[in-house]
Amino acid sequence: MLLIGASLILCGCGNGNGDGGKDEKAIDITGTWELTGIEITKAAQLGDETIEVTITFNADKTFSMSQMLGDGRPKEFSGTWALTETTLTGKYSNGKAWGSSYTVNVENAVLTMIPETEAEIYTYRKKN
Amino acid sequence: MINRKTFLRMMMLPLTAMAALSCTAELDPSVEMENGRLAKITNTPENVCQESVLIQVTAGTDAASLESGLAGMAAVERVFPDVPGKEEKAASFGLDRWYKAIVAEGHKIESVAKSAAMLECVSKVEYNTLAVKASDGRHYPYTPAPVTKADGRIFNDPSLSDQWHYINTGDKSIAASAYAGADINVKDVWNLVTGDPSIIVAVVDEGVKHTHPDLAANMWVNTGEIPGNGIDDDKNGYVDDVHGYNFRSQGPISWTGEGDSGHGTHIAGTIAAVNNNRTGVVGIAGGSGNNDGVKIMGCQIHDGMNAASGDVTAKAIRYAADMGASIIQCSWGYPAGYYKDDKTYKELYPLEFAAIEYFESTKNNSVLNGGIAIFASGNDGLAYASYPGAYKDYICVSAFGPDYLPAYYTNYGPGCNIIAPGGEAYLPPWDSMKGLVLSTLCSETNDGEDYGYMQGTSMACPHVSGIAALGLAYAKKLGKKFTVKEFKDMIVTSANEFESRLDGKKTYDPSGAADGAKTLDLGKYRNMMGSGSIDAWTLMMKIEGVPCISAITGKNQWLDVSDFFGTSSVNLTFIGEELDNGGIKVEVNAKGRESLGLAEEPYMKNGRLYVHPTKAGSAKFTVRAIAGGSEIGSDAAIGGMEVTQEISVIARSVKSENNGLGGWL
Repeated sequence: MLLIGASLILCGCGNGNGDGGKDEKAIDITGTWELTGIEITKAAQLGDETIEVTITFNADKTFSMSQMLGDGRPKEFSGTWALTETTLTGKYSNGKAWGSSYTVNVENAVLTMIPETEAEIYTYRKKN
Repeated sequence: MINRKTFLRMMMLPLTAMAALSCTAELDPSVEMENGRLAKITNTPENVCQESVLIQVTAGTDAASLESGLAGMAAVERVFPDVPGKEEKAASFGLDRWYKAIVAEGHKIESVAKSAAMLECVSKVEYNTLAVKASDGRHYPYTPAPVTKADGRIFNDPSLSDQWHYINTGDKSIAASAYAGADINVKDVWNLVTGDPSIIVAVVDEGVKHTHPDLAANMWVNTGEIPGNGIDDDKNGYVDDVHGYNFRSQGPISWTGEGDSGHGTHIAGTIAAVNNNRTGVVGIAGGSGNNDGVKIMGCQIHDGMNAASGDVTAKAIRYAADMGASIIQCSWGYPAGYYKDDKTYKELYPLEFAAIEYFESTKNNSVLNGGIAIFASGNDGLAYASYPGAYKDYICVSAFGPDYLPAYYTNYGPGCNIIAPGGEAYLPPWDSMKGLVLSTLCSETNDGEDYGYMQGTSMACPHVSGIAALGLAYAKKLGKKFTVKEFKDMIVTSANEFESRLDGKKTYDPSGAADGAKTLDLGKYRNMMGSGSIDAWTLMMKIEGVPCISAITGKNQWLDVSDFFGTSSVNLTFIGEELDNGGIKVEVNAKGRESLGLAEEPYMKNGRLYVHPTKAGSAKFTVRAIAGGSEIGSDAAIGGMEVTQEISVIARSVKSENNGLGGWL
């Protein structure tokens, strides 16, 4: 089994979408989230590696992320993010774009992130 | 040079009609079928001890039986003393059946060897070969600077700044060609670990000055022995072996005799000079000043003008195993190129080989299931490593200078597994000894100074031993366990790229005068310097665990495997079935293939892993390579060490280029 232990933390306040979108469609992702699983839509098996990812989205549109894929010490990343309606994009601190933009949704304290390929659905649970 | 076969042919002709002697006076047909009993003589009487011959008897033969049939000897004694609790294991390696025959006055070793070979109760006869130190023995005194106020360095030892081999800033006062980063990359490691007193490194060499002010606190202490009472308190066969033993002279460890160069003391300092004591130099695994360095066990095999013979080295190595050492540090060997296959080495030196195997099978720490043997490659400047280091299973270390180029003296090529700083004198502008390796020395033989410079693969070797010891300490701290093979593989793949430096020529001058300068064609070293230069930080990261490599689904792609095989992976020879496209097939099990939905056969080429996953998932790829050369050492040829790494790959539909740094999003 692919063991997922990741969390998404959003630091900030206010109830806007942070990007000037329409209030009635704004997604409120404030708070702390914990990833509970990945659903693979085009594959049946994931394998044996343990993956731990923690992402903190700050209100100033910066983020920090710690990831551990299998063995070894966590790798740390940071950068910026932007949310346009339901589309989340971002760049790492060296200016390189994320590997994908994501369609995001928050419902019942669960954040889902679906990459452009729609091949996987990453699910984060709100922490605390 | 007379090789072994020629020697045997020469000796056999006049002896075919010779009356056979035997413990039981009966012929052994099996030996007769192998061209006579002289085939029991494993080596030739060149560069050997003239006072003794080594004899292995068949099982069940005792000393009296051997003595009764042997002519020309004054006495017969067991090579190894009985060590309570260790004999069963020693017997499994045949160590209990080795004897040393002392040649009687007026007799020659050749006649005793022949006499022994004719005995039915004798299985092997070995001339007692002398090993040579992998250093020219020259040493240059160094006076430490006075201790000044803390300047932000991790340790307060005043001479750390002159140890370029640990931290090389490219300081041109070392050499005009000094190259920043030509070191062992250990500085940041000292923030993770600095040693562990339960890890013991046996320095099998000249006597280590255990009273040295910068070594004393890191010397191993045999708590079972009462110092100086003349009694073998712990009944291990050696009297007053408190910090080790002088196996050459069978007594206290010594370092002040004529011919002593401080070689063993210098090596000991590189591994574990006491750190953070406001004194002298730093040792790689010398602790943080809180009695937490690794320990040095002195296993003296050279004594003054007396070189180590086969029985002496074997006893020292077995002692290291029995008394708790995790690593044997061996900067000695036989002339390079003399033997060019593993089988010949094993056959010529069966006693030494058995002792090393015994050591490597002995577990003395919580991390490994055995010990690690580390050897210098030798200073002949030849394209072969010297044995024993050249043997496929032993880590063999060649040398580079502060210019991050091969040192002019270093052996290279088959048998060399990895390189480390060995120092080099007389680089332009010719006027400095600072390009050598700085460590502890014996004031008695070093113009009154406790420190000094030396060069050689002898000096490169303890850098790897020190890093290995540091690695064991770190693994212990993390609660990790490895097999000896896994740990060796991690050491020799913790390497930095070196090949790109091997272009053009290098100027050097072993005479120390600019007008005598010579040039070294660097091209001849290509693919001949092992897996690259040792990197302490990389080893620690391997011990922590190497993260999975990220791949993207739906595409064929090349994956960088330098985290597993070092940044010189592009220069390594990978092993496996060769595919039509020239790639080397790698192993992945059915579960992994299914998980990734591999669309093509994965393979290694140009140092990278080719994969084409169609599904999100993960798999482990088993990849094999050769550390040192293009051929694995074998009974047929001298060669490199086979290393295996298990590479974990995770494939998803998302992968950020991110300059190769990865990133989940």
